[in-house]
Amino acid sequence: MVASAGAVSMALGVVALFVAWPVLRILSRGLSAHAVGHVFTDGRLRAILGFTLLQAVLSTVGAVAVAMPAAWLVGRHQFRGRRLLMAVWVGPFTLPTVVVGLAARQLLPEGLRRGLFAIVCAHIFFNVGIAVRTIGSAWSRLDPRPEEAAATLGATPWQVFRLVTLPRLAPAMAAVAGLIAALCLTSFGVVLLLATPRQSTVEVEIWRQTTQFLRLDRAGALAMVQLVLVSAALVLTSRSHMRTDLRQRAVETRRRLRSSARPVAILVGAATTALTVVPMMLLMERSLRSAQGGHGMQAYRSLAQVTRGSGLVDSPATSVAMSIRIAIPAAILATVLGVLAALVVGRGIGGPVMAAAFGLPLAVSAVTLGFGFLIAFARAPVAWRSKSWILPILQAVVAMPFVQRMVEPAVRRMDPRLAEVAATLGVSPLAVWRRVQLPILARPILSGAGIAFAVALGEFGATTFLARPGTVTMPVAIARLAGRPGAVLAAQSLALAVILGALTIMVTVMADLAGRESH
Amino acid sequence: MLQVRDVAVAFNGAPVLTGVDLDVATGEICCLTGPSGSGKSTLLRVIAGLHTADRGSVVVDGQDVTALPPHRRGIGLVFQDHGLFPHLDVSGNVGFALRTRGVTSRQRTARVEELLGLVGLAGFGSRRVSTLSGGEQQRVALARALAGTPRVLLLDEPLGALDPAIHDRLAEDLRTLLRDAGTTAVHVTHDEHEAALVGDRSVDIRHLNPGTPASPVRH
Repeated sequence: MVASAGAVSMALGVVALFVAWPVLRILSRGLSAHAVGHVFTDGRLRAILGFTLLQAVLSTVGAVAVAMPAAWLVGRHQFRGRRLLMAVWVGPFTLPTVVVGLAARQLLPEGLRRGLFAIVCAHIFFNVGIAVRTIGSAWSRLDPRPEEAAATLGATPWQVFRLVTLPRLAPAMAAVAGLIAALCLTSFGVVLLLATPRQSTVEVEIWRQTTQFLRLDRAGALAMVQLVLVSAALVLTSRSHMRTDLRQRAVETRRRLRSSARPVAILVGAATTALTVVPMMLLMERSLRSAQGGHGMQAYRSLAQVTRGSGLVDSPATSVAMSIRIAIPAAILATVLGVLAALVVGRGIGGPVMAAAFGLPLAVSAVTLGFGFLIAFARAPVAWRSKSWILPILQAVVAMPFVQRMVEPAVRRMDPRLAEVAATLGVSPLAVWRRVQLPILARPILSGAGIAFAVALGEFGATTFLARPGTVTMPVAIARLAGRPGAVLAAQSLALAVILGALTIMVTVMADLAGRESH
Repeated sequence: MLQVRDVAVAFNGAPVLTGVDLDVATGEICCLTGPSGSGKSTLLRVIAGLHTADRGSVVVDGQDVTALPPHRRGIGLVFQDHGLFPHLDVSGNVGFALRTRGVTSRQRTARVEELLGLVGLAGFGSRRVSTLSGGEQQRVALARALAGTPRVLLLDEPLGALDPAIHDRLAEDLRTLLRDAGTTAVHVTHDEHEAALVGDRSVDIRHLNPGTPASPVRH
């Protein structure tokens, strides 16, 4: 037994203390005040619930629809630069949500910068890449013969797509739609920056009720609603995933682009690339504009100063170091926890109970977790919410599912006989782990650690509940600067967003390269 | 009738078909034999429009269809491994061609029942195709192709994967079915015995294909 009982119980303990306990505290808050009823009877809260679902549905449908042509391009065809193109399209997904929100706010025309349209646009930009990747990969595994048969039966190309291709892609589309819906339901940074003052989603409202109105009972009730919504979306995802797995074939069916399809292919590729790249480039350009007109590094230089009315005690530049200092221990802890979870769940140890226990962090939204920490660690003996070490733990819990998702497939692929063979050769379990299994898992673990670091750097929803004057991270600083009036602050927020965006993209690219050869 | 003229195909520079001519009279069942890898399936794909030949032409009932996409040729194809629609039930598969033409669902049901009866699968309409045996799947594929009332029906080793015990019976059924429907057909097989059972005439592709080695191509 590699994941020794002690290590597993430690991981379970962390999950129990830092996920289950806050959730329990939320439940007791939300239930004791009969506040759940409020969510459905109070007109404003009901409107918030409606708006949350509306923006999530529109964003999900929009992202999947925009992804379809690009999925056709990469799923059906083999051409040079295909992998690079897909990596570029997934790029926005790795960006912190505050950066995405800020980019959308800068780039949309004046009248559309805030509101439903802006939120949906930002969510499409953020999610289109994973939709292309999931649907495109399912498409590349579709047996082409039913399509050929349909054509010989007289079906036009459009009929072939509608009657034969689309129904077989449906499970993959549903799976990724569930994931995107879960992300849009829990979207915090984007909605906070792009909603009009009257608009709110469940996620944003939890934060508002807590930090602005101090109505913890209502926040608790909303958090419970959020738990149910996210769990429902995730169940949809995992069910659909099981159906896609059954239909996947090992055959590669990608073909070279036919010359007749080339103009359409170029158009699709260029449009999708523009959608995913142009916003970041424009954000960069805006950050380099100086107050007198022309371009310069003015905004970046101003990051070292403390500006009046910024709401920050230290200069924005200090948040860069603070973010990195918090994200490093967070990434290490997330990696340890995520690898243990992957080993336990990947081998089916403890069955569905263990799987559910380690699945819990995924179902709890970031804001719910931050709120849970705030109320669960308020009093002795666990009055930890102002401790400096609580932020790394908070971010580690948020990042842990990402590590688990990177490592678990490798654990499942690993041949259990390797360990048995080594054991019959008289090698101790620890040595088996070090010599046999760790080398196999090294790349996905390294890759997962990188992703965890990027997630921790960009983490906003949970961190914003516990960040104090001395522990302001980059996303928190960006949101504060962007939320206040003044040209200097606006310029600072853009410059800081570009730094954060560049940092996370760099880390993700490195993590991706580290994991590459394991496939 | 079907006229194939001077069809040539090369894969990555290796010639597979080198100027094939083939004539099949209306209502005739022509069997095309030859070892695997000799280009039989490729020829069928060219005739159906699923593969573009390097040169040559395909004419059906006096109409040159060489430049037409598959769905406008009126040429049906039964695949070796069926190519059934996994997301549709047996009725959905058989009625597919009618559905693409906008035939109402009531008329469709009647025609599907008729076809299923013809291939000996009456009452199988609501079964999932994955629950059928290999022979049953092949009958569904045949009914599906016949529903499109193709001007020419191409069959690519339709009996190849079947249990020898039912092979001969299905071959005879197939002949009866094609005969009764008066279908012009090209039936590909590597089995001389099967060719004799099904076809009016049997042609070895190596005799149609000048300039290629007569020995089986490695694959």
